[in-house]
Amino acid sequence: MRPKHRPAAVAALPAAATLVLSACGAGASAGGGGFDDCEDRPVTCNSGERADGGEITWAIDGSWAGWNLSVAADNSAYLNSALAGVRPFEGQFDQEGRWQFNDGLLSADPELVSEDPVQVAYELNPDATWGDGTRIGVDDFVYHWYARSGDESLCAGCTPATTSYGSAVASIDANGSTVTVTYDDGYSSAEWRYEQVLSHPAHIAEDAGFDWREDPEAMKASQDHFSETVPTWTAGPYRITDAELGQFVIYEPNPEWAGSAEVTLDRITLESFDSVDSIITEMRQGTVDGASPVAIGAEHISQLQSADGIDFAVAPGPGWEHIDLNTDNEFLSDPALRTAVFQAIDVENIIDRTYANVQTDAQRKRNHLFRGESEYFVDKLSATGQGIGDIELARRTLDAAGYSWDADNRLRTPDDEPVTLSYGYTESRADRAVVAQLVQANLADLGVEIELDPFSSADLGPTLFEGRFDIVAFGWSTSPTFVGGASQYWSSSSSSNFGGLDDEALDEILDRLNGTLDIDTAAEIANEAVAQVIGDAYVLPVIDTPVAVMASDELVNVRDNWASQERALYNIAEWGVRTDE
Amino acid sequence: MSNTTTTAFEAEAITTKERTQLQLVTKRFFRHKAAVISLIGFITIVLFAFVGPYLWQWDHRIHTEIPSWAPPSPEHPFGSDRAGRDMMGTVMRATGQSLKVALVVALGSTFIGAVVGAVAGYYRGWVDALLMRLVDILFVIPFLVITAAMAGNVRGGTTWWHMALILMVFGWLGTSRAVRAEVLSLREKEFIEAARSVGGSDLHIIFRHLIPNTMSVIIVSATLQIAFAILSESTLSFLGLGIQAPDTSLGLLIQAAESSAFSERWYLFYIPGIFVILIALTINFVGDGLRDAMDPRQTMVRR
Amino acid sequence: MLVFTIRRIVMMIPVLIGASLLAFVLVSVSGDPVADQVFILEQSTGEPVPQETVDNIKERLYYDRSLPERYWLWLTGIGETNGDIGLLQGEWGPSIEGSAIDVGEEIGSRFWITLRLVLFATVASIAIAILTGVVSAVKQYSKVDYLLTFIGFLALSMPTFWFGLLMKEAAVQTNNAIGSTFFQTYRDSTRGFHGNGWEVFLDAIPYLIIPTIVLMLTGYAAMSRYQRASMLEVLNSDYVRLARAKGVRNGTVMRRHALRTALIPVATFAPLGLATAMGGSLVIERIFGWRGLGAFAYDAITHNDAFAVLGYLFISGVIVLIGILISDLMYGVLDPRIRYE
Repeated sequence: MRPKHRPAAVAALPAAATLVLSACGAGASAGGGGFDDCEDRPVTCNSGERADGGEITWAIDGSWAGWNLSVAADNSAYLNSALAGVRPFEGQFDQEGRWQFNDGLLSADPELVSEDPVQVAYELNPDATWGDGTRIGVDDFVYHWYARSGDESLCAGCTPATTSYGSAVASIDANGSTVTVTYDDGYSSAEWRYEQVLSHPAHIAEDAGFDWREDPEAMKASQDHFSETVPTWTAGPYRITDAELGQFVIYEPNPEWAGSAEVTLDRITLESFDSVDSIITEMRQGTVDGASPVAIGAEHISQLQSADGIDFAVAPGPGWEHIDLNTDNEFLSDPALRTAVFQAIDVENIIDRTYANVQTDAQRKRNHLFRGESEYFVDKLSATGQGIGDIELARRTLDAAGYSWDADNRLRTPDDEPVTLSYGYTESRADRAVVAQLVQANLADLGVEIELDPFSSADLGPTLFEGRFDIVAFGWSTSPTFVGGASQYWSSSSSSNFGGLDDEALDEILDRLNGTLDIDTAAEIANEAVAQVIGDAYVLPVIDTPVAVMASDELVNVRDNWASQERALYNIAEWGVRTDE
Repeated sequence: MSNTTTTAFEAEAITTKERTQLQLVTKRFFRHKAAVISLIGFITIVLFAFVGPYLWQWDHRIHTEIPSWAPPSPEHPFGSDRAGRDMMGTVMRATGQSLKVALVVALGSTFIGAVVGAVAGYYRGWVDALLMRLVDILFVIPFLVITAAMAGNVRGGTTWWHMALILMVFGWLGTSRAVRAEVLSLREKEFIEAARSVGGSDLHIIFRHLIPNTMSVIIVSATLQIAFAILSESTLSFLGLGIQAPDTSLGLLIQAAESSAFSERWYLFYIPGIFVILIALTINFVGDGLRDAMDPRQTMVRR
Repeated sequence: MLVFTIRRIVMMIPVLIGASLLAFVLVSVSGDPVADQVFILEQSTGEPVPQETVDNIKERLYYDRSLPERYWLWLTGIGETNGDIGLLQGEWGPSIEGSAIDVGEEIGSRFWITLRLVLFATVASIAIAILTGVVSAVKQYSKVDYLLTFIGFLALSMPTFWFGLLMKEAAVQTNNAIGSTFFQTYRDSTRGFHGNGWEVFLDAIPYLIIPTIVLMLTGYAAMSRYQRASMLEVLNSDYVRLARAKGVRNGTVMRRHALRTALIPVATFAPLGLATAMGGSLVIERIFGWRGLGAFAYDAITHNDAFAVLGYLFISGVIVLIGILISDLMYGVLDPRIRYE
């Protein structure tokens, strides 16, 4: 992490100059406040007293094409950000991965009241409303369930973004302000606490004339309605006073907000930008006050360093890069070759030449599911020699499996075939292009010829789903949850198990993982799965991709949060303008 | 560019009569001072791009011994970028790639345009109607949009060769119209009649008589195609739809230095930009000079 | 002339169909937008996208149909009951981006944004081109002529995006120097600004200045050379010489005879120039974050959004063809030698 504060004071200039000269200069410059202490105190850094009032503009680095997060076409990180101040949150993870319920919606932690079947009780905050005086209630739970059920008899022709929750619900009942969700027999997720159970106000769907409860076609029509209409409703600290699809959202405080965090800002404009360059250009002129974009380059960091009045911090973000092998490939179907390929790749060297340009102290990722600072983190990767770039070790692995090398030092299989592989990556990602060349060089030392196969970013999805790769590098998003991810990546029946890994032992572990309700037990099993995947030499984690938060030095309580989809916007209620010291 | 003209001139220089015409054109061209200076300038840039890399110690790749963001100095006359590329070597490579695209486009699209124009003008009737409707169709599709759609989706990475091919396929419309107009009037001339009466095949007439006699139109349009291709290629690369890293092009270099124009690293923005401008500018002047030289009727008149 | 106009309009139809078919095939074969969208969604939600969702997306986008069938549907809408497709029925087809995006509405609202930019730039560039072209021709082979010629060539050789970036940074520097955002460098208008037509226009001015200057350059480059050439031709013509010989005063010759005739080519060129500038606004809209037609085309292309690309091509094709038509008609009106049967 490289926090940096840039007060306009002349005294700070030498520090800044050193930073530029030392190429990847580490450490923080002197001076309090800002993001300086975000490395040590990620949850509370940049906090302080807020002045009353203030109007700010926050940049979102992408656009959204509809207003309904439940719908596949609309759902995106950018819409999540755009609705951060109004949508109902059951709770949020903080930067240390701890989940905190939202006291503006609930008055207690969700509670597991029965294990068989699984029943979870939600104690609603009696003051929680949809911003129009209507209380949030059981109907809204049911509406959300229908929308995400993936069941044609509840919502006909719907395209829910996810159905893992909705398809598992058996019934929803209410008793006063307590709403109980009963799951069907198949459900036993250790992450029951974090399920999203609310999205839209059912009464607004009814008022708009949709008989959603009885008519699945009307249900679908009401979903389209929410997709096309700017939310007038709010369950958050702000309400939307003006908005344009894909362009901007203007927030003012929600007078009915029931949460304990008091809102001080008068107005927040969330505005969509199509590039980080444009965001920084506008920040330099003071027309934008901050942003936490999904990607950042070394050029951007240098621009931020030379801008006045802008604080920024770089830290591992909510995505991780990895290199995957296709087990359906004629060569890579052999675990020995897969292991040797990973042993030959020098991950630290790769990071040094790419991501370290952005984050000086960038670290290698050593666990697929848990980040280094997680209490569940264990390193089962280093011991296997994967990712250390040890050609001798890799050669021994192959030797033992009956491989040989010809006179030109080209690797030959036990059947005496030369080994040639392709390596796919997204061409617009400069870092991935460099990684590709470095891997190519590593594997050339092993006698494996790599043919680079860059494709356009729109081609990444098709390439993966069709399995048109031998080796491929891409990113997944990280979150403190891990149960769903493990099955998504590795279950032999998952459509996102792109390299076609089919390991019965792993499937058995994943079944156990999905069968426990206890989070600690689940984490233990998840690490078993990680160990199994490492043994299979299937996915080589590279790094938690560094990202930056940047904000005017006048903003207080703004800080990045990798664990939230909304990033820095996760605590938007607490944002404010710094009082004069 | 020099390639284009020499081959074209050789084609014309088959008989002695035409050699005098060549001399006449050359003489007139050398009277056009701006064009001559531009020709020298253009040749210098071509040498810089293609011979330079053999003389200069750095190429366009990242070298760990190059400091990042070195200001211009004798070791690195154009400075270096963030990752540690020598910008002199990088600009040589980028200019070379852009020029390769431009030259291939100029030759290729001029060839297509000349053949289509000559065939359409010679046969007239339904062939002409069909080809000209095709030209109309392509003309209606915005050039930048259709080339971007194709270049953005090349599998296996967009290289200079892909760029050249795509720009070529959509870049011949103007040439074909101009050549067709010339051929329409030429086909009624006596020497075509004569060639036909002695049993010359259509192919023979088109390639031996019609196209050589529209050479002045063709050469001028080929020249201007170079400028057009350089600008299109750099624009597409700038939009992220052209040549991709780790290879480089002038458009990519400008894009990387997008907001440096007034910073301490201004040279990263201006140098590649000036190279694009210089290439296009010199070519435009050379084209102007050629036009004047070949068509004494239109002194200093464009289009 | 009416017959001529009608015949030309009828001729446009096969051209537009051919162009849209070609573009449709090119965009369709270059990528699979559904798989792209599904993958992005998986990255966002962190779990596999349900198969029913994938099927429903395909159905909504008509990706469950064959390529020729899709094109036929786009054009006619015959055989479809959703009522969201079929150009002949006034429907533009669904967009990849989601049901909240209506291609027709998007194009409609963005058309005016782009037109505003292009109109200002074209008018300004014509005015400057006429002025410099005339000066250049009258003072042929003088220092002024050479200077203006050089500037014209320079403008012709300058990449729009480079000049745009330069102007954008210059505006940022100016803003920072004067301590207020006089020049807006991003977006086409203030977000959330509401007012009557005049207020909206005033609001848009700070956003218009820099992009207009940049786009002006492109139009100017082509037109000033054109104007100079036609002015020279007229000045060397017999009737101007005759007028001079008759002793008509120089200023009168220029105004009454020379300039009026020399304006014909530029005037006829203007509609077509305006139409093609609509297509050329893509780069400028990218640089300055405008939400116009050019940005729409860029997004549609990069997302392989076939129906959106088609919609864009159709509208820009119509604009270009109308531009050509008006050019031809104006030529007939202005030049007494031309008569349409």
